[in-house]
Amino acid sequence: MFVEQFRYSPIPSDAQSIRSEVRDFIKENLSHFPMQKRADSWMGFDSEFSQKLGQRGWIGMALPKQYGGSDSGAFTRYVVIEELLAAGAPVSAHWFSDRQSGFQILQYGQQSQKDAFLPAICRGECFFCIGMSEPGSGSDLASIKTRAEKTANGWVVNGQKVWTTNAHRSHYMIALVRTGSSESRHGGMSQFIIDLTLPGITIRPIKDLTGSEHFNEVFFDNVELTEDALLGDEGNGWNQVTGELAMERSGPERFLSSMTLMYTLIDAIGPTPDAFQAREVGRISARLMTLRQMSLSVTQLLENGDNPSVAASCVKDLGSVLEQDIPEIAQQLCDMLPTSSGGGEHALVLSHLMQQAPSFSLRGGTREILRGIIARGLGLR
Amino acid sequence: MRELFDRTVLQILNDHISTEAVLAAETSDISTALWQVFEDNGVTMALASEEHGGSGARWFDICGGIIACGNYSVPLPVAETVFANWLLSKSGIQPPEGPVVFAESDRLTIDSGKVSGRLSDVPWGGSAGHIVALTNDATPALVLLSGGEVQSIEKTRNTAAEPRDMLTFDNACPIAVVPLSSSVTTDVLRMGGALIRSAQMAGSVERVLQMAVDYANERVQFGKPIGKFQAVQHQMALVAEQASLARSATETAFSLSEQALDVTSIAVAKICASEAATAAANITHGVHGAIGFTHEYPLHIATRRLWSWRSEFGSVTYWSTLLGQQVCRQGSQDYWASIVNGDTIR
Repeated sequence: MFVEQFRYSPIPSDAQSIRSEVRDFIKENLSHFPMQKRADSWMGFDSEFSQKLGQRGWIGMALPKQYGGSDSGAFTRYVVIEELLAAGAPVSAHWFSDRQSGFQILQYGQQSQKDAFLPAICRGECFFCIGMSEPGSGSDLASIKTRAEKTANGWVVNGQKVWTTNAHRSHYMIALVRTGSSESRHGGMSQFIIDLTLPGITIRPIKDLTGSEHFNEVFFDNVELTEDALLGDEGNGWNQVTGELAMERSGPERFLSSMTLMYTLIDAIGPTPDAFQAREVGRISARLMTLRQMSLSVTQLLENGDNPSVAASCVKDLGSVLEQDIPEIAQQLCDMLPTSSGGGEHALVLSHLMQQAPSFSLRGGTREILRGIIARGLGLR
Repeated sequence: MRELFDRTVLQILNDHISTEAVLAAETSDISTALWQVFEDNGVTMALASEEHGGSGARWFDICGGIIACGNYSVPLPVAETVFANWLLSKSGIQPPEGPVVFAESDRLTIDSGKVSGRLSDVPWGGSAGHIVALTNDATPALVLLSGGEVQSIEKTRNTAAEPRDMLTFDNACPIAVVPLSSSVTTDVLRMGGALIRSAQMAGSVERVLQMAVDYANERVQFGKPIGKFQAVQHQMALVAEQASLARSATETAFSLSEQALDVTSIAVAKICASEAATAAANITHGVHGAIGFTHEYPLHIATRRLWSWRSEFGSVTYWSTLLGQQVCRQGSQDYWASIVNGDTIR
């Protein structure tokens, strides 16, 4: 059973050595960064900060040196991102390029695409967003309708994507679109690298329930792409996208989104907790520590070339439930009014994360989709 | 050595541990024949040093074996003896043959070399050959006693009908009395107990998960196996998630416990495994329906142990409170570092 895949997988000592450098960097660059901003976690956008990280060589680290990466193992990258996430650093600008687009291009891209995009990704100057969901296609991704038709010099795209995080401030989108018809539900789809400045593209931010603008709707109206926009083989899109989703589901961003609230909560409780506070803070901490170990186990499995898709779904579902539990438990532990403006640091962070929490189990696959994957892994489907 | 122990223990379990054997033990004492199989194959001396006749294995090496013992509900103090023999051996005492058990919370008094006092909830205490305990001195000593020195036994059984006896000693002659070595803290017995129970619960949770998966694929209602219903699938996914948490936390605690037991990861393991026990017993009984509530169907063999083990050697509340107090005392500045270092409780 996949449960046995969760062997203890410590971070190798050579990967550990970068941790103090990252902590020093954070101290230097973020010491005045307020808690309310840190609470945005990996939704916090700051392109200058991303460029600074790029200058340090901390974006696209696992990519080969010839493309501007540092050939670091997965664990070195893990240490860097977990330190940034734990500090609530604004990493959103380069997040998707670093986590998945770079790897997709490395794995499936033509030489010219690797040369064009990978060095810029590593410098923190080229931001990607991920075009998957559409108005009628959320959990059922295979039902997408956006289509690319072949033309004499390339492709022409028509359709619409939605819930695309950062589309309004990214340079490119890797989009999954239909390129043909197929007997199979999962056939006839391809991935394209789409320059978001092209004519025919309209990007409209959608305010979330807090009034912030992170995600967007993106319209394609006869958008002309050159031939080299195709990423990977025509018709192989579904296969490429499922590999990409595995990268999305087991990283530290899947259980650290409410970390800033843990800091303000511990400060609010103080050094002498009552019995209920001590118990609940202890329970949350035990789950956090174990989820981190589980996430490291999946990192090791990926390094070994195993397929941890079911194990990764466990991490994602347990992790987002924990991220959602933290604000709910926090509001029970201290008798104070959460505030959207005014009020103290803890009141602001609590209010913010309480409102962000519903998104934690939507992005990267809903609870229901993940539990379906796990049930299949158990042999129930 | 991990694979060797994994294989050896699994072979013994497959050959010797049946539902009948577990049920028979619920109304009897330790089966010496069954015990001998574990002892003859070196399981109980796995962690004792080679000079004491053991294998000198690490905690990591026996992790899978103890998880498997939990999975099969082994009706013997095998895990207790593995721990006790580790402690005796590292304290310079030759582990004896036969079961060695211990009590976590009570201390014995020692006067002119004679030991007195009462130990409660001793696993298989009434029929074990030897007992390990601590004295109540300012710097406690480790004591090894023969079962023959027990003055009186008050028999108690836990929810799973496993013996948890109260033993009284009155001027008993110990086999050995040694000061605790420097790498051993005074809560070593509670920590050791929590470590082995975490592994047993992880194994037992995997057992009820597998039973419920098999049952859901066989039981037909509304014209199809109930496992085809999404409502059932999602409940089972939650059990699998809890099994993963328990397994991961247990593997971590065993891997980090070497010369000294690693208290923070043991606390984390006992919390996660106990919570997994609660969820797994609840959901797998639900999936099984009425048949799982019968004595004839073996689900209860695992679930009654889960309901017992989660309360032994420190409940969720005990360990989470300890962990949470340390977190708050250290403050928010140190929180992340303590998650990474896993050293919240020092």
